[in-house]
Amino acid sequence: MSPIPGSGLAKGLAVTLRTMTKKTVTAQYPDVQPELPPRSRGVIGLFEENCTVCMLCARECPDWCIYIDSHKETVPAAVPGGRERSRNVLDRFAIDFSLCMYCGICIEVCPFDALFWSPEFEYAETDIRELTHERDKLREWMWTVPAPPALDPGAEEPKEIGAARKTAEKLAAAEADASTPPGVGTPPGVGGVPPGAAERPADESGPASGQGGPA
Amino acid sequence: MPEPTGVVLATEYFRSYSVVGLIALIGVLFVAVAFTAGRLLRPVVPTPEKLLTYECGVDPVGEGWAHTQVRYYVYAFLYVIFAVDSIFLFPWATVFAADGYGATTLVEMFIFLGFLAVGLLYAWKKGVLTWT
Amino acid sequence: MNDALDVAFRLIVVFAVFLVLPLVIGQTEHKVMAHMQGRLGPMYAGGFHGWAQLVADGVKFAQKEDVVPAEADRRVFQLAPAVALLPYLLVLVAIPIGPSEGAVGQVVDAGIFFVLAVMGVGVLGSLMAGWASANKFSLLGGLRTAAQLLAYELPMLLTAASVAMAAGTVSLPGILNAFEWWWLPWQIVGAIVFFVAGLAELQRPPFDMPVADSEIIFGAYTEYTGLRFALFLLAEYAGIVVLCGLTTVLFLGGWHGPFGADGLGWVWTLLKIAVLAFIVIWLRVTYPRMREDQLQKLAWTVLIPLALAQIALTGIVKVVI
Repeated sequence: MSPIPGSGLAKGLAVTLRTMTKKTVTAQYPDVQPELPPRSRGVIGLFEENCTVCMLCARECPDWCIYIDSHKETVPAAVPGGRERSRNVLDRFAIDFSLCMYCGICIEVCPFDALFWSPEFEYAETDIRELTHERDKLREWMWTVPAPPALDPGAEEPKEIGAARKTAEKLAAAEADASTPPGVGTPPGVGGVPPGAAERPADESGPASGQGGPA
Repeated sequence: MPEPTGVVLATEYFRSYSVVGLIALIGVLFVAVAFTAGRLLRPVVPTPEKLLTYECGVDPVGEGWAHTQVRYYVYAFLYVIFAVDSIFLFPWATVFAADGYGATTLVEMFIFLGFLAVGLLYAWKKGVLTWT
Repeated sequence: MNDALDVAFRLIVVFAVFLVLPLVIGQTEHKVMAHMQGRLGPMYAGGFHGWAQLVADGVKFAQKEDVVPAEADRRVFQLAPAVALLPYLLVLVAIPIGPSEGAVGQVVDAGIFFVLAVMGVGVLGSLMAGWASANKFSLLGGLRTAAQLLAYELPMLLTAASVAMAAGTVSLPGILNAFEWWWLPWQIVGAIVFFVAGLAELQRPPFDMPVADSEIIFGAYTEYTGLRFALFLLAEYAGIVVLCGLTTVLFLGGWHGPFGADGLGWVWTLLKIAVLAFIVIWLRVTYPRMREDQLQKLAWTVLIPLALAQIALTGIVKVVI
């Protein structure tokens, strides 16, 4: 059935009228900050305390935009008669954001979690030399790094949290062990697992044989 | 209602058009003031490049006045015919329904319009109205 | 003395309307067009939703450098914007707003005839601009403009003649005094033809082919900058005011309200003009533009025959009743 002549025209008018009555989604930046998704890549922050100057990030960076200078220092032996250790000390750590392509390889590859993504993006400069951020500025960016987004409800517990929790439970078990005299009731060491951990998946080996308690 | 006398009509006529003339004068003054204000406010930095003809950014080619098509002349011609017809239409429109006139006047005007419609139809059939 | 004061007052009011209403319509267009396209429009100029955007634009245009191309006809080039703008000012004088004798700038007995004749002068402005610019594209744009404006002048003339026939007078207040509610359906064809033809006269989308950015830069107005350019734009918006005013007065009953509620006639007039201006903006946002040949075809093969048919209908009804 052929359309009525002019129906297309009328439909067009209806579309524009309907769009006019709907609320616009325009966000008026800079009065309103944009809603960035989690794990947004804005700028890279450096946590110097974690950095061992392994230079993996500088090596893996595809753009060669990370500049690292370091020197070795000797650390006296920990115990008398022991070997002297040598430590890498960071002199200069700079990321040239005019070259950086925000791939995140440096952050992925760092074995010591010294580099972090931050969603800050308002660091435009008028001079390109100011786009090379040095140690102090990279440390400043660390304070803007958000907490990692929450895992899905059904996800596995992260390894570091698991390790910390088990250590805490062992300590608590040892303390409870020490506070009650031996022989009263079932020694809490048997079975060794505090009731709270009974729900945990069975692949944990640590406290299940926790007779020995923490080392 | 008594017909206004010729003198009254004339004064009314001139009065209304003198007011129209005054508003035209006000308009001219507005334009003059606007341009003067502009001349006071604007910079004058003429460079040869600025004074070149604009042809989408490339250097201009040839003269400033291009060949025009004959087609525009035909449209203007058709327009003149119909415009003159409309001029005749207006005075007739004010009186054709009054007493003493009637269907005869209507038919006369329809014949007039009919001639023009035939002219338009002829132009249409001849292909003048389609753009080549 | 009283008389002179009265005339002066009227002229000032007409001039104020001429300056203010086009800006109001322009700002409305910014906002309505924006919301119809899912965005916000001007928000910063003046603080509250950018109401002063066009004022800021006016100041910007006034302080721009005036470039007259080296090869152009200097005087003609400089005068073209004025010639395009002033006819609309003259027409505003004749449009009545309210029922009383004094609700019009000046009662012009030639009414609609005078209005249409003066509007025809506006075409000259574009032609002058196109010819004097010494630019091939301007010339081509100017000729296309002229062809379009000529072609669409005719349906306006014919449908206006139809209304004059219905009213028995060409004076605009006279037409309004003779208005009956059943004129609305009687002249509806004429109203649509007049409105569409008027849109094309103003070179508003979907009839803006001669001045479209992607078609021919800006047609006859390509070489214009600053204040002269602003005057051309003001002419377009003043033309919208005039077109909506004329359509209201001729076809929609001007200051007549529904069911005889004629009090506060000027409110009704302004309301109708506002609705028509909204429709003008609505049509701009919705429709793609027509090609030059489609434009001309529409005028000569659709609008003019319809206008002639409307005249025939009006004549027959008027004589029979």
